Amino acid sequence: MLAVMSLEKRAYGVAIRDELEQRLERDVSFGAVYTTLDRLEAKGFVSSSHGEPTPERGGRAKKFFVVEPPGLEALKQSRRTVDAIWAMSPIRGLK
Amino acid sequence: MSARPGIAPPAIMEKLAGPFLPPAQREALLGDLAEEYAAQCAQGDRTAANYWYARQAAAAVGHALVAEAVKTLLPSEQESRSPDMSGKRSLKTIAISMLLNVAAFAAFWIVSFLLIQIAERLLGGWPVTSFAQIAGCAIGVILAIRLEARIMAYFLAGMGAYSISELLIHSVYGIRSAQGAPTHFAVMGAAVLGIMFGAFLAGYFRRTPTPEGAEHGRDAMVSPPVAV
Repeated sequence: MLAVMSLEKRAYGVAIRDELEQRLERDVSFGAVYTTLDRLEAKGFVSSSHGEPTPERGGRAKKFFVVEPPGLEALKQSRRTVDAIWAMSPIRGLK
Repeated sequence: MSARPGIAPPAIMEKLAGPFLPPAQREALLGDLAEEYAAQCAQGDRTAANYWYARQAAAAVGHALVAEAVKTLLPSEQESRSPDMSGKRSLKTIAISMLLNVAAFAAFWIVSFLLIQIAERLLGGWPVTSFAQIAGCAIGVILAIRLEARIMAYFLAGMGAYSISELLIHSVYGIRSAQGAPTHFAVMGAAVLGIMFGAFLAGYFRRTPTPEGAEHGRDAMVSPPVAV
């Protein structure tokens, strides 16, 4: 969801995968990206819309994703949880 | 991402992968793969691009099949659709589902045991015991459905199919035909897997959004996104 948010209006499969690979420094498959986005969409965390078909994609349209308010709330909740756990860490300076 | 028009991935790979991808993802996913494939070809090595495409397509199919299997085998996600879903709630749902499946199996076992014992003592041995076994499976499936124990419903339906098949084979070829543990395991495994694949396909097609009037196949790929 953070990758989708950082890409703003350019968040479609290829861009999201590139962003994740760049940030995570490892290979990410399109299947993993779409399965995850499908689950997030089913939960109402993201929504999607189709762009125009383009020739370089074999006449297929891009599917753009945006994060919805419930998704934003889930992100904040996740951040709070992670912060709370890190607050327990005995390792100084890693909060 | 800088793709060149005219460099298309091997059609055979697209045709092999396409049918296994969920219709809601198929169009965009194949488009993304085609775009990235063209970008890789533009860098020079088409063989490597073909290998990359095959790997990505296989991974996408694997992910899609696992996701569909999970949706089919686990209880409805209705409860987890609300934004306040938490891991605790999800675990609770799974635990309840497992308990219901165990309860359904226990009920099936008791009913089948009683039926077979009664058939054995009052009406003699085979084939009455086989009929009792089939009746036990049928009652077990009904109980599992009532309890919403999906896995046990599939398992007992498979066992019922196996019992019917076994009864028919023994009736035609004699009681000593098709005997031995490996034979029984193979036939019963086939029955259970057949029922599960059938349920999986039924669930898959039930969720397939088909535009009104459009045929299955290519037309279904361009269905609009489902509003959430």
